[in-house]
Formats: sequence, structure tokens, C-alpha cells
Amino acid sequence: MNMAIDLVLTAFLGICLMLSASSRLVHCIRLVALQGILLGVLPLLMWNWSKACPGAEIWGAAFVNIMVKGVLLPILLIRAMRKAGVKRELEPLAGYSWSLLIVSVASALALWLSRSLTIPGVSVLAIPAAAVTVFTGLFIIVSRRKAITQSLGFLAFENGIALFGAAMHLEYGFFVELGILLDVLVLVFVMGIAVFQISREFEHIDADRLNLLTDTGEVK
Amino acid sequence: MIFSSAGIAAAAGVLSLLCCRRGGLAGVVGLAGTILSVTAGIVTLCTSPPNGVSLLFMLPTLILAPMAAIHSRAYIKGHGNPGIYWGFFNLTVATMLALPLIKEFLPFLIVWELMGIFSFVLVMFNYKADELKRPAWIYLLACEAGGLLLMLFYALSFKSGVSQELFYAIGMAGFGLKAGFPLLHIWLPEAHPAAPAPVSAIMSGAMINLGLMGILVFVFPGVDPALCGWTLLILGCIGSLGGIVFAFAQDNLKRVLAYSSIENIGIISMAVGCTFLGGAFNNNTMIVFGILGSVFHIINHALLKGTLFLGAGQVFCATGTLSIDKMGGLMKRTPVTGSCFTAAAVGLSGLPPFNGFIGELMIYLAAFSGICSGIVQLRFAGIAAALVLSLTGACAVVAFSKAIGGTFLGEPRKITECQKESPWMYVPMLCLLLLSVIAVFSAPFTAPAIIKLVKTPGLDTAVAGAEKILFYAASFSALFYILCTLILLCRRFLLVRGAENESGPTWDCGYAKPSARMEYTGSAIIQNLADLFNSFLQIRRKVDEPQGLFPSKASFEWESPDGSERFFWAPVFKFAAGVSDKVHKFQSGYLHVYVLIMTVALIAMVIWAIVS
Amino acid sequence: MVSMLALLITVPMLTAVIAAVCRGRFCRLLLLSGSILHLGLALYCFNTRIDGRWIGLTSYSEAILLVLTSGLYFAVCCYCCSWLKAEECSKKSLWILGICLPLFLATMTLVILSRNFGVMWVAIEATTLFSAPLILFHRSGRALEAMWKYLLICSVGIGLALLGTLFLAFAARMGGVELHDLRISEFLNIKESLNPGWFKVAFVLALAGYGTKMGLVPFHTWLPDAHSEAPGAVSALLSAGLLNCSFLGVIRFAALAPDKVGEFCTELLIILGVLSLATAAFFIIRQGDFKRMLAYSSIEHMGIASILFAVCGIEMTMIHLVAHSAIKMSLFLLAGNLLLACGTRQISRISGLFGVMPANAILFLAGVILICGVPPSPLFFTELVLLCQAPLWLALLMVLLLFMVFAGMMKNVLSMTMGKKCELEIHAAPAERLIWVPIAGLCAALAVGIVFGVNL
Repeated sequence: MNMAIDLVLTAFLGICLMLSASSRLVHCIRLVALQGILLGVLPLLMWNWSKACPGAEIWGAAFVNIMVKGVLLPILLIRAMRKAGVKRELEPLAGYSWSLLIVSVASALALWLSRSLTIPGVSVLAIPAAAVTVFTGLFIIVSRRKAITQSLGFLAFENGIALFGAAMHLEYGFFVELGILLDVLVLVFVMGIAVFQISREFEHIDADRLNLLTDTGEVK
Repeated sequence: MIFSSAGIAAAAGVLSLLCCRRGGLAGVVGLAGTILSVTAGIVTLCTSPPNGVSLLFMLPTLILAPMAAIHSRAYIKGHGNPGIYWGFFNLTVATMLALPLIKEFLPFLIVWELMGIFSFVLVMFNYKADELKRPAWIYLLACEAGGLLLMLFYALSFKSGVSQELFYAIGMAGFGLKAGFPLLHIWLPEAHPAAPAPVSAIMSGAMINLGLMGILVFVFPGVDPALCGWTLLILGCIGSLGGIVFAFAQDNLKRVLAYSSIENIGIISMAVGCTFLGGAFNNNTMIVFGILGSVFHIINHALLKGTLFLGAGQVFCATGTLSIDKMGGLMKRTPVTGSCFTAAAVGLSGLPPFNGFIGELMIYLAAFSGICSGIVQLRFAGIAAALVLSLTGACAVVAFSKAIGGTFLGEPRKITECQKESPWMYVPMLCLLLLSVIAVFSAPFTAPAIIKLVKTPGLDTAVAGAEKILFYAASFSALFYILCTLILLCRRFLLVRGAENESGPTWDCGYAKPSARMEYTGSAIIQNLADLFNSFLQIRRKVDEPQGLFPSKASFEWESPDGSERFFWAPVFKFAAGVSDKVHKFQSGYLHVYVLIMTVALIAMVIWAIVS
Repeated sequence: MVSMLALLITVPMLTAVIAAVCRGRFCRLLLLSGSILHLGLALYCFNTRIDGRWIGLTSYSEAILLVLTSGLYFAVCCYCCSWLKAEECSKKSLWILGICLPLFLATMTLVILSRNFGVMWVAIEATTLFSAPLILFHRSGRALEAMWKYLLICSVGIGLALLGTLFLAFAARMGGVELHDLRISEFLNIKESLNPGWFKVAFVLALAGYGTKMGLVPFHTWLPDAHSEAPGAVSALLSAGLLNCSFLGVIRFAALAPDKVGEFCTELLIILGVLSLATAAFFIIRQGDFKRMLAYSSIEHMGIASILFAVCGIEMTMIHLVAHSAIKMSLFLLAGNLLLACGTRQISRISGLFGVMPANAILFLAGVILICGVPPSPLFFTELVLLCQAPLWLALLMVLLLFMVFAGMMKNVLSMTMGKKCELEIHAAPAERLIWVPIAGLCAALAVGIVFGVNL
């Protein structure tokens, strides 16, 4: 199964590159959803099928992951996007070609730095893929204007963290995993409502134009 | 039991606060409480006297508190909530009575900070005035800075490897903020004019002494006496000269008195410094005269400065202003206050026949015995002390001449109406002056008792010499009083008997229509001296000269803001504000910048974790 | 006994469900009854010591934090009873308040009671979710902006904390121990076999993550906005309750440090603490908004708490947190009163409050003096102990920064309370009636201070 795992991890890297270069929001939402589905499938791929069949907990976790991250979250985000009336991220703070370059350099750096980190039982691509996904998530939050894109960046960030856990065989128990997923779901729900309120109040959802609360100069 | 006086005052304070809705009741409770607690204090002192230092620093409070309380009764009428005033007045007096009796540093520090907070409430009692915001803030900052430095002082005693000099310097700075040492004194000229006059009297006469007490009790033990002596001497010289030079350049009557307090603390420090230097080099005469000088000057300063501030309070109540250049002619309208003020000012300048002279005489003798001792350092100290003391004495005479001349003599310049003086206000002043006269005559008898309290052997011959000198000084004063009284009696009863009183216009130098505004102002009286010291004072002048050949509109403004504030503290605070403005730019409001800062910080921390 | 502790979490959840059904009616009654029940339960469970699989109560400090949070919530609910009447808010706002406040309490209780790093993480993330709608109570553009920044920055931070938790589990595995879940007591048992390198990175991530929620610089940027835009009662809970719970996360991580790594952890805590104190000092000095000033004061005290924890240990830190919570709650409630009366948060426009609203002004002045560490405030004693035990450079720096904070805060407070009455229209009467809970808070802090001082 090692090849399948490596394929999934490479797919993560590829998705990150595509995320950093795409301006169409629906496309980005679908990419992040794909990341979520791959994350759900990963424990099943990493399971040692020759020993025994995975228990109900593993199947349950995979199912809930795929449902929440692959189906529910995209629905919530696309609904928020439609309500706010945006389709594209047109003027990011870092241009798309620059973004692509930065994420590529980060990937190369991560792959090079992790050569010395050999952990038994874990693919050599695991830590770089997770690190790059986390970095891409943070980079999208920092360099994109629209609030929806920032939520997407946060989701990619969370996926990267979950990838760390999954790829390194770390278990935190079914209920905790359920709790984490529930948290992310409610968070995206609340973020969606917030984006709608912002679009109604300010008639734009550019987070970089939200700077009334500042300590420089006169209090407005 | 020794805390009974403090306890009674504290209880009275809390009671007054509780009945702050009923002003009259609060007033009665407050006044009664103060007087009861002072009585309890005096009784305790007589029955079970604490050691010399505690006794010395409790006396000013015990003397001034009842006088200030009686004065307050008339002063605060109609000026604010009496319950709050009496409550915090009694609480402040309670802390001031408790402090000399506390031997351990941590309880002392707690009561010290409480004293600062309670007196702050009194300082900001007239909260309705916008211009009081800054003095109240400066006073509170000074109290807290002193408190923080003393916390550091306490903490340093638990650390190993701390240099003795740092320990000593922090202790001196912490207590020096309260005492009014140079550079740390900037709160005094701001807080004293802002506070009600009786509160200023207590603060000036009793509270700032407690700073010196703190130094003597907590900082000096274990330190080389020569170092102690030199520090106090130098600080005293700078403080007294600086204080009096700024005093004569001020226009606000209470600011003059505040700077004069800084001068007097400087003189007391010089006296204590001479004592320590004498102790370091085993010069008994210097020790004896130093101790006598400092003790007498502390008591004299309390009595006389108290009178002066109470007088200033009466002046403010009568005219509504404290600006010397606006007042005038108050000697005719408030004669008792005027005479008491003049008498106290003469005493505080160190002129005979009053008690101020006796105290300064002792300090001069300490300086001279240092000069005569033959040890180089003592000679140098003696010369410095004597020179500075004489110079400050002269400047003090000038400063008070300006204050009295501008306020009481002549005709009113700008004030239109003047209230009558209230007996509640001038009776305490008369009592204090009476006590100072008693102090003159009792000096020869109290001197040996004071030296006996110090419990140092081998001082008997020096004490005998001091006794003799004091006896001569007291007799000289007595002679002077008798002569003065005889002359006054003669003038009243013999010379003018039968003659009629005529009144005529004052000689007006030929002006057609003289007005009171043509009189010399206070700033004019001291102009020569101010010009002499201008490199130190850096007076700000704004002159609007008349244009053309004929008389037209012109104006002249001058002010002398505090030197250390203008050239040291204000730049420091401005620098901090400048840095703060730059730092504020980090909270720019841009979410992207915030997350970027987080990421960068995180990466830095991770790299440090991996590398270390 | 675990069921008793579970009640502490389910009772507020039940209150929230009932409030959801009632749609804004009986909001005050529900809040008050829920808080009384919760406080009663917390006091009853104060002495139980039990270490369950998911939740438990194992130490004195956790019990104190539990009672503190519960007491705080009770005080805030009492305040809300009169405040909501004076505020005249819509049914929808009351509905959201009735749902989110008890859920906020439930998640904070879960943080304190959790015995599993995963459960603790879920609970802290949940506190972000349920406090976000509370910030939006006033429904203005500024509140919206504050909420968005709060959501995003805290979620990113907490994600970092999750990464830290995963690295911690990995550190255990690299040290040769196989753990099946993230139970805290199991980690404590195998403390010494944790791989030091991986633990250091885990600690850094956890400190960055939980430090974001706690308000450590440079992760604090959401705090001034969120705490100043939220209404007074909510700010009180955020500042006095939530910051403590996030600090608990840091404490639990730091308790796991193997001996070799201990010094690194204390150094990192001290550096971030000093940075927080310095940043707060410089931001307080020329501050124009009194609620932001109080928010920066919270950042300052979290910095001091973190230095206290690194230098003096957990008992002093707990006393500092308790005192800070009581005084800060009173201050934020009073700030809410001032906002209600004056209608503006700008310090430069307000003046002369002693004459117009004396009770509030005197209490505000007293509260600010107490929070700056003047005796008999308990913060004086904790700061004194810290100065005694800290190295010399730290003591000198702290004295300077504490002085700067005092100067800045007193300048602003005196400018607001003293002086002539300003031109603003001040509706003093409703605000003057809302003083009882702040008085209780300040008296509680004074009592703690006097008891602590006498024992010292």
C-alpha cells in the first residue's frame, strides 16, 4: 500500500499548488473538499489489511470525515459564497504567479529539509506534504482579500494538521475526532453567517478593508 | 497599645466616610476623631516613649494634625463633600502616626502606599477644576514610583550577587521621592498648590519628613557612615539651593511655600549628613550639633511651615486667588493672618529671634566644627555646608520678602473683594507661633534630653558646650522680645498719648492718578536676583512691546517652570510617548498583517526550539 | 462522582436548549437560575478528586478555577438581570444571548474538567465558536469586524495548538511509548521518556496556539478589538474567564516538560510574558478608548501570570489569576455602565464624571488603582513575590513597565473622572443602579488581598 499512500500525499502537494494559483472560488472549494475526502480515505489505505479488517470505529471515522469534509462543508461554503454574491478572488495581495512560486519553493524546501528526518513506518513524503498544506493554508489567509477565501485557507490549514495526524499513525480516539470535525463544521457555519453579515453591512467582503478597529491615530 | 492613636484616627476616618451623606455629622466626627487620636498619641508618648527616631517623626504630625483639622473646619465649608474630606484626612493622619512605629519593612511598605493613596484623594479634593488633573496625576505617579522602587528595594534584599551601591541607590530613590530630593521633587510644587491648604500644611510639615525617616531606619543601617553623610550632604546642598532659587521666582503663593519646603528638607538633610560625617570621623561636637540642628529644624519647619500654609489657606479663602501679582493690601484686611504669616516667614528664613535661627545656628556650628577639626574631608564638608546655608538663608529672606510684600503690603492690584478672616483659621496659626516661641526658650533644656536619647557615649562635653550656646541664644531672644514689647508698648501708650490720628494720602511720586496696578509686582521685586540666577532658572519671558512713540497696549508675561521637569522629565516622558506612537502602528487593523506576524513569530520560535 | 462533574457541563447545555425553545422570553430568569445551579454544583464538587477517562478534577488549582469561573458567571448573570432591562435590546439578541452564554459556560467548564488533551482542544475551540455571536451583540460594523478577526485569528491559533498536541503524541512515540489516546495522566506518567526535540517543538506550537487564546504577544492582536466591541458583561466573561482557561492549556503542557527541556520552557514563557507586558505598557500609554485600555491591561496581566508561572510556580499564579479575574470583571462591568451612560468609548470626549455619576466614577478609579498593584490589592503581593524571586534584569524591567502601565491608566482615568462636566449628554441614572455587582467583585478582591497579606 505504500505506493497508494505516496500517491495520496503527492496529490496533496499538487492540490496545494493548484489552490495557490486558482482564482475561481468554486474550484478552490472543490479542491479543499477533495483534500478532505483523501484525508478520510487515508487511514483505510494505511491500515494493515493483511492482519485484520479495520473495526467499526475506523470505518465510522472515515465515513464521517468524507461526509463532513467532502459534502457538508462545500455545501455550506458555496451557499455562503452565493449569498455574498462573489465568484472570484480577483485582486489578491500576492499575485497568482507569485503565489505559485512561493508555494513551489516552500514545497521544495520542505522536501529537502525532511530528508534527514527518517521515521520508521512513515512515508518520507508525509511530513513535507503536511507542512506544505499547513503553509499553503496560512499563505492563503495572509495573501487573499476576500473573507470566504480566508475561510478556505483556514480549512486547508486544518487539513494539513489532520494530515500530520493521519500520516504519522496517531490516533486520538473516535469521540475526539468526532468532536474536532463537529467543531470545524460549526466554525465554517458561523464563518458563513459572518461573511453574509459582513457583505450586508459593508457591501463587500474584502477583509483588508475591515480596518476600523485600529490603534493608529484617532479612534473612529 | 502604641498604635492606639493611629487606630483611633483610622476608626474616625472610616466613620466619617460612612456618614458622608450628612456633612455636619461627618465634620464633627472627623474633628473629634483627630483631636482624640492626637491626645491618645501624646499620652502614649509620655507613658511609654518609643525610641528617639520614632518620637522625632511622630511629633510634627501630632502638632500639625489638630491645627490643620481646626483650620479645615472653615476652609472646606462649601467646597465639597465633608465626609470624604474628613474620612481621608483622618486615614492619612492614621497612617502617618503608624509609620514611625512599624519596625518591619513589609508592613511599613503597605502602610506607606496606603498613605500615598489616602493623601492623593485629599490632593484631588477640588476635582471640579480641569487644571487639577495634571497635579493629581503627577502626585499619584510620584507615590507609585516610590512604592515600586521600595518594592524593588525589598526584593533586592532577597537576591544574591546584588551590588551594595544599587541597593543603596534604589532605597534612597524610593524614599527620596517622598522626601523631595533634587530631581525627584517635581511632584511637590504641583501637589501642594492643588491640595487644600490644611492638607498641604500636614504634607509639608510632617509627611515629607517621613521620607527621611525611612532612609534613616531602613536604608542606612549597615552602610558606611561616611557614604551616608556625603550623600545626604550633597543632596541637601543641591536641594536647598535649587529649592530656594526656584521659590523666589514663583508667582503662586503656595508654590513658593512648596519650593521652600524642598529647601528646608535640603537643610535638614545637610544637618543629618553632618551628623553622619562627624560619626564617621569621630568628631563629637559635629555629631552633637548635627543632631541638635536636625531635630530643631524638623520641629521648627513643621511649626513654621504649618503656619505659612494655613495662612496661605486663609488668603485663598479671603481673595479666591493665590497669585501674588494679583493680590496686595491684605495686611489691612486680614491683619492677624498677615502678622502671623510675617512672623513665621521671618522665623523660617533663619533670622533671630525666632526658633528657625536656633536650629540653623546649630547647623552652622556643626559646619564650623567640621572646618576646625583638621580632617580634610570634614573641612570640605563644613565649608560647603556653611556656604550653602548662608546663601539659601539670604535667598529665603528675598523669597519671603516678595511673598509678604506682594500679598500683604500695599494696595490690592487685581482682587476686588475680600472676605473677613475666620477665627477658625487664625487661631491655629497663633497656637503654632506660640509653640515656636516656647521652643526657643525650651531649647537649652531639651538639648541634653535629645542627646541622651541618642545613646552614644562620650558626647557630654560637647553637650555642655551646646547647652551654653543655646542658653545665650535663648537669652538673646528673650532680650529681643522684651525690648520689642517695651518699644511697642511705649509707642502705643507713651509717645502717641494725646496725639490725634490723622490720615492722609500716601506719597505718590507726583503721578496724577496713581492706581494700585502701578505697584511693583512680585516678579519686579526679585528681578535682579532672578537675572543673576537666570542660567539656572531659565525663565520664560514673553514680551509684547508697545509700538510707536506714544503709550499703547503692551504685555509682559513671565514664568519659571520647574527646571528638572522641563529639562529632564518632560523629555523622558515625550520620548516614551514617541516610542508608544510608533508601537501603536503595529495594531494597524489589517488582519493579514496580524496573521503574518503570528506566522513569523511561530517560525522564529520553532527555529529557536530546534537550534537550542 | 464523574456523573456529578458531567452535570456541571450538561446543566448549562440544558439551559441553552430551553432558551432556544423559548425564543428570547424568560431570558434573564433562565440565565440566573442556570448560574445559581452551576455555582451550587461547583461548590459541592470543590473537594472531589477524580481522574476519569474524559473528565475529572485532580488538583486544587483546577478546583479553584472551576469555582472562580462559576462564580464569575453567576455575578455576570446577576448584572445582566438589571442591565438587559436598561439596555432595551431586541428579542433576537436576547435569544442569542440566552443560547450562547450558557453554552460558553459549559465549554469553559469542559476545558477545566477535561483530562484528555483532545477533549481540552475541542472545548477550547468550542469556546471560540460560542463566544463569537456574543461579541456581535451590538450588531454594528465594528462588532462584525471584531468578530471576524476573533474567529479567524483564534481558529488559526487553536489549529496550531492541535498540531502541538499531535507533536506531543509523536514525542511520546519517539520516546518509545505507545499511547492509545491523549489522556493527560498517562502523559504525566511517561513524562521523562518524551523525546526532548519533538517535545520542544510541541511546546512551542501549544504555547503559540493556546497563547493566542490567552492573549500573549505577538498572538494577541484579536484581543483589544474583541474585548472592546463586546458588551460589558461579555467582555467581563471573556477577560476574566476565558483567558484563565486558555492559560490552563499552557500550564498542562508545561507540566509535561522533561527535566532537560524545563529550562527552555521557562525561558520561552518568560520571554513571551515580558513581551506581553512591554507591548501592553506601550499601548496603554496613549490609548484613546477606555475599553481597549482595559483589554490591554488583561494582556499585561496574562504576561505577568506567565512570568509568575515560570518563576514562582502554580500557587502564586492561581492567586494572581483569581485576583485579576475579580477586579477585571468589575472594571469591565463598570466600563459597560460608562458606555451606557455616555454613549461613547473615547476618553478625550468624557470628563467630570465625579460630579455626574459619582458611584461609577469612584468605583472605576478604585478598580484601576487595585489592578495596578497597589496594596491591599492581592496583585501587589503576587508582584512583590515575583520581584523577589525573579533575576535582577527581570525585576528592573518589570518595575519600569509596571510604572508605565500605571502612568498611562491613571492619566486616562483621571482625565475622565476629574474636571468640569463635558458637553456629552450623560444618562447617569440607569448606570448608577448597576453598581452592586462591581462593588461585590472589588470587595472580593480586597478580601483576598487582606487575607493573603496577613498570611504573608
